[in-house]
Amino acid sequence: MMLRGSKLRRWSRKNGLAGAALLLTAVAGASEVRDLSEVETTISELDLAQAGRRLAALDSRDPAVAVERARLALYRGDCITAHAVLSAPRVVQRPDSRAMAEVAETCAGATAESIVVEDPGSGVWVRVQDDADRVLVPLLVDVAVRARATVAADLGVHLPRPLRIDLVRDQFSLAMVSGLPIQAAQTTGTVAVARWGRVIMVSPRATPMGFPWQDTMAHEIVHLALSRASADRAPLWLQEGVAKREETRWRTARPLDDRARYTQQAREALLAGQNVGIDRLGLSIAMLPTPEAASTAYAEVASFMQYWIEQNGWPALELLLMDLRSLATAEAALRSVTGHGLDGWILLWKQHLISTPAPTSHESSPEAPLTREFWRLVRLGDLLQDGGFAGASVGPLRSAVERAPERAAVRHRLAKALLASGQPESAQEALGELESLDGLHAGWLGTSGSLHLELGELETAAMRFGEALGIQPLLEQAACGRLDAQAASGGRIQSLQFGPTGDALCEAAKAYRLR
Amino acid sequence: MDWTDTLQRLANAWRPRVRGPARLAFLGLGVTALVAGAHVARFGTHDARIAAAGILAVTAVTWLVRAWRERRDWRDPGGILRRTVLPIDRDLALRALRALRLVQDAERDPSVGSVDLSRAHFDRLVRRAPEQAVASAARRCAWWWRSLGWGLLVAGVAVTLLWPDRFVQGLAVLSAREHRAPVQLRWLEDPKVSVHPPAYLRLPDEMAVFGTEIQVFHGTVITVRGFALREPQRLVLTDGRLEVPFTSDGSGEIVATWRLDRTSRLRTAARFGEVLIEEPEVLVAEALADARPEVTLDGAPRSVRLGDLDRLELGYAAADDHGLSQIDLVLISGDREQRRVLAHLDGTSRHESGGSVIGAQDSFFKRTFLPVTIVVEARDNDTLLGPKWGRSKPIVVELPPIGAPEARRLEVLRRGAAPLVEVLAEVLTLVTNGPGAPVPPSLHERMLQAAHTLRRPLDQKYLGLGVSRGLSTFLNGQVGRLEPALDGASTLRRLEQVLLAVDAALGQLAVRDAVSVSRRLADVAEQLATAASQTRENEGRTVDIERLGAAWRALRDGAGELSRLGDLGADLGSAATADLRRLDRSLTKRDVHSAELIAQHLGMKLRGAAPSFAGGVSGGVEAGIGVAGEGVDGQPSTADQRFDQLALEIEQLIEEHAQNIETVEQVMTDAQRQADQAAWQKEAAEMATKVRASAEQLPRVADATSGGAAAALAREHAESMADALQEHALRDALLSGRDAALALSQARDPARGAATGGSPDRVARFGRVSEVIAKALRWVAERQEETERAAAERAREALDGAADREGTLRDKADLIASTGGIGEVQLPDRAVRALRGAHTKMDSATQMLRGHRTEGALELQRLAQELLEQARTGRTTESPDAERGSGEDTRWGEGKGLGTDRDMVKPNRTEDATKFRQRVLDGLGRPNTERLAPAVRRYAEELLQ
Repeated sequence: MMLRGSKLRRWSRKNGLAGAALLLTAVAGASEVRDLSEVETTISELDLAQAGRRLAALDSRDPAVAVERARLALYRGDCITAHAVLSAPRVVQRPDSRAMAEVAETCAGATAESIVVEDPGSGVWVRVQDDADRVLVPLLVDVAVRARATVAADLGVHLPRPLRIDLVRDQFSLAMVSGLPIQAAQTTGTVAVARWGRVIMVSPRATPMGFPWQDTMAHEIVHLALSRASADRAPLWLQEGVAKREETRWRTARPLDDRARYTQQAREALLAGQNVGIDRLGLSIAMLPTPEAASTAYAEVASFMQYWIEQNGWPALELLLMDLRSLATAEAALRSVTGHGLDGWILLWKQHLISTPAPTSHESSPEAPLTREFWRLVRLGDLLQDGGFAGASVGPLRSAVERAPERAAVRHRLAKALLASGQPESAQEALGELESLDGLHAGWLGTSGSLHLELGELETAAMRFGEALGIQPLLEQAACGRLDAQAASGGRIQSLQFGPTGDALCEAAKAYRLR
Repeated sequence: MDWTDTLQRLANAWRPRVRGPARLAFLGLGVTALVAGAHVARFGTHDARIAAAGILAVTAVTWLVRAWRERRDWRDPGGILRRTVLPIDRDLALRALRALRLVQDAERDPSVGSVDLSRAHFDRLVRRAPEQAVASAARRCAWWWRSLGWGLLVAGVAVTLLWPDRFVQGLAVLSAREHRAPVQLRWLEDPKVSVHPPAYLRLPDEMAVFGTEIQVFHGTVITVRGFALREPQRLVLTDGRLEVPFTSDGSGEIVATWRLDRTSRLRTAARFGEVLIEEPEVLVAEALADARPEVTLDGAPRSVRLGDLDRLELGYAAADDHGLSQIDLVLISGDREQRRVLAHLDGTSRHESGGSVIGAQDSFFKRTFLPVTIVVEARDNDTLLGPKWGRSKPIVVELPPIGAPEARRLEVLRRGAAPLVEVLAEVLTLVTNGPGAPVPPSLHERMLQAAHTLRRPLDQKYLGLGVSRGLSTFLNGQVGRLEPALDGASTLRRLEQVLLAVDAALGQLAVRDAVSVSRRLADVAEQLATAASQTRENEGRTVDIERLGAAWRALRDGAGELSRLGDLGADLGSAATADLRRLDRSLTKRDVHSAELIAQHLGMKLRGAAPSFAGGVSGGVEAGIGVAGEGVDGQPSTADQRFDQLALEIEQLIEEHAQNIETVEQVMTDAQRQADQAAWQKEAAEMATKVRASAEQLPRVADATSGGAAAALAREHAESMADALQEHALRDALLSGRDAALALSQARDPARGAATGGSPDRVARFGRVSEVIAKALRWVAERQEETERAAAERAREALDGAADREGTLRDKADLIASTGGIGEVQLPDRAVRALRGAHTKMDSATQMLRGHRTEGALELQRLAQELLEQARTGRTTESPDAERGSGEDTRWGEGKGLGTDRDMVKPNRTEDATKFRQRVLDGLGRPNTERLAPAVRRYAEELLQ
């Protein structure tokens, strides 16, 4: 049927307007979806100011917009606002908001009324859950600034300011703030997570002898940088592999750095059939079933990335990150940059592992299982020392050292006992050589520093104290000993070895010891 | 206009004749209207009263209108014409009226016409009116008025005379204001008032009369009875607000019952629709309230500190003006309250006193953190207004901070263990100098002193908290190992073992306490979160901020104590303190939302009681390499775990052995049930008859003679024997028979008989009874032996199995005794001796079971079980409450035994109750328990229903 003249005009006026309205609505809807997607990407790239501006232009009554507002609040560390937004009845029904709502609520409980220290000069924002950790903030800022600069230099990724760091009191709070299951954190011994655009790290005071918190923080900062560079599309193997490689590059080399024999560890795991698999890391290494599996996984990704960079060079990594932003998948980006997909690279890497020669017996020396007699001697030594009988404790501890000479913790005990019983020469001997130890131990380093300080070897003492602080900043020997070293050097050592903390750290360390 | 003579004459011819009868008629109308109005008003409803008032109003209006018309008509020529001429000559009257209007118009307006002419015309017409006819008509009219008037008057008066009460009542109802008549009338003749106090008061009835005042208790029932004075009415008893109708009692009287719930002015009244007409006399009943019980608690009010107490003894006395029905002990803390029934009474007792005890470890104290207010409350027996509670003055128990008892206990125990380290240091020095050198006596003496120093705190209480039996036994056993004097190296080895074992046990204690205290603090944190949530929702901020503050202080103090509980405690306490600082800030700002979130976080953290860092190597695997462990991951001593394992073995042994005893008992019971009793049932009945007949020769009541009491006792036993024989309970018959024979032998004692003048005949009679009893005893013994033999034969297989199990358990007892007597884990001597004793008994029981001698075997098994119970050590991981129950109170009182209700089976646990009942019945009802088993079983069955 045809329509003539005025009828046609009337029809087109009536139905055309409705159609146009529908079309506009559809276009507006699609536009909003696109806008929201862009907001999410912007947030993932840590460009929070831009995301805030974009969100302000959207309809705030839309639940989807509310979810993105909550996400932005979480990235800003404002968990209470995120919790409030996600508690609104119109938002709470959305299935895509539930997980975020849970994190927002637990995070709000863990962070409410925490102290926030923001240093605009350095562009670092630190929130400490435990007021007592405020004294650590200058140390954290110092490391964060250096690590950020290193990442910018190595990866070409400039992290926005402020860089946000949450220092929580324990693993429980780590889980609550990050959303990582507490069971997973406890199983794998996770101490830090890069999530919600922040570094969330357990305070070194959570464990008496600390952990390498400086490298840990640098590691997490690398994760943030990779998320920014790839719009959070970097696969886990890439994230962990690059972070593992970068975590120590912010500082000068330290003893036992060369112990990082990732390729050998990965090779052994592969040959023993205990490898985790580059492409089977799951959601997070922190969620692997055992600490051993996590350790193997780290070794595998570190070795893999080491191999990949050796084969393709650093520029290829930068290209890969750029392609990740623009291409849909990591596989496509990998193929685009190197011509091989992930499977291909895994195959090549495994061939490389197998062809890698086995370590010499000196390098591999697996630790012998310790007997109850060893533990008995150590505990007796502790009891005697704590009871004020340091001299009597030397015997059992010396026997323990004989049974496990590589144990830094036991050597540290013996040295302490010898020092307390007035035998500093023997104490030095008891400490043994750093290279022969099973790892860095804050107490060992502190005692070593003290002995070097006694001998007037200020540089060595300062180095030991610095290394000790890198593991346990609340170690009294190191925190206070460095002041002595500084005084003895006439202030010269301060600028060389230590961060910008003052006597407060020494006092805090004393309080920590007396806890 | 002037009156004319003609008109005057006409008026005179009519008015004098009619005026009187007309007035009579209107009087009659008024009387009738009044009577009718009264009767209508007597219905008492609103409409009826309106109608009555309407009748009277219409009548009055009629009167007034008539008076006005009379006045007007007889002054007006027109009115006179209408009254007089119109009724007899309508045409003339109308023409005269027109002429009159013309005259009036001409007078107003001369243009209408001549005034004189019009007047002349009017006069001519008026004169034509016949005066005689008017007079005649007036007479007729007067007759009608008179007839009507008399008729109405007679009717009204007649009705009034017939029902004078109704007239009066109607007028009273009509004149009522606010539904009450202004007049009062008597309704009852010879009213009798009886006063019946509430039944629970148990007071006698009394009589009362109207016009007086009485004082009675709430709930008293007042009954008014009498004859109705007037025709049947709806009579009620009322206090002006409520009313109770009188009803016929069937004997001509009417009765009303009033339950007094407040002071009332009672009077009888008649109800007419909505209106009451009351009697003039009033009965004023003053209601006396049932007072609340008065309760006194010894020493209250006062405050005590829980830490200073082992237990709190509470003596109370309660009194009520009528009777007590229940007394409760009430524990209150914050918004938490717990009631414990101290006594259920029947409501007759007006005074009650007793006591109760609350242990320092009472579970209520553990579940709260605020001071606990203890009061005794008594409830009276007021069933009318509901029971009322009286409350004593309080005793306030100030609680120590959460975890303080545990922290103090650990501290003291650690201090007690410190001398061991000191001695170890000396021995180490000694052995270093010469490994084979003997330990000097002085050092050995110091070692013993160190052992004693550790033993001393084991029996003490720490703010009410003791050391568990298991831990105490373990530590005693360990330090006991230091007593033998050995050479240096052996002493060193043993001292090290003991020290590490003690250290491990105390370390485990610290961990357990830290977890326990942490979880209790979690409760507080969760309560705080809940309170914050309620505060936020209810906006009752002032009150709840105080509550939140109290919870925060409890958490702060508790976290401080938690920090003293080993490494885990220090870690958890430190983490909690960090959160508490945040919580404090939020409370200071009155930011209850943040407070709620933080408290929830803290609660979850403390509930988990996990260390700040767990899993993996030190510092995890996230970053860094080559970080050394702390070196205390291993277990230097597992002595405490092995001790617990041993304790568990003993507990299992006790349980398994008890099960084996039950098995043997069950086997024998089943076998005896199946025994063929038919062969001797008839004989048993005959024997029972003989024994009963014989027993009748004995006195039922002890007489004055010596031996009389024994004879009476013998009769009781003999009759019990007869009963048992009747029921085929051979064992009971045997026991009762033996008792009867013994009593008879005492009764027959010739020396006594001589001394008290007992007759030879009496002695002979007793002798005959003895013979019957002895014969019956022999018969019973033979039957029992036969029965047991048969039963054992039937249960042979099952008994062999029980013997095997007994043998296995015997060996287990021996093994535990051997393991616990030597080595690093030392059981107490008492336990080892008990195990060895049990082993011997179990060995003999095994042999007897193999020989199917069940009676002897069971006896030995029970002895062995008692010894095994003595060997129980408890575990180091037990809480001190485990062996003493939950610390609920025990109580005493007048005529009441000690009791505790914590083991009672809850009525709603049907399954448990059934099992419990079965256990009791099985236990009590076994034939081999006591000879009173059937009676006990019957009693138990009734009790347990």
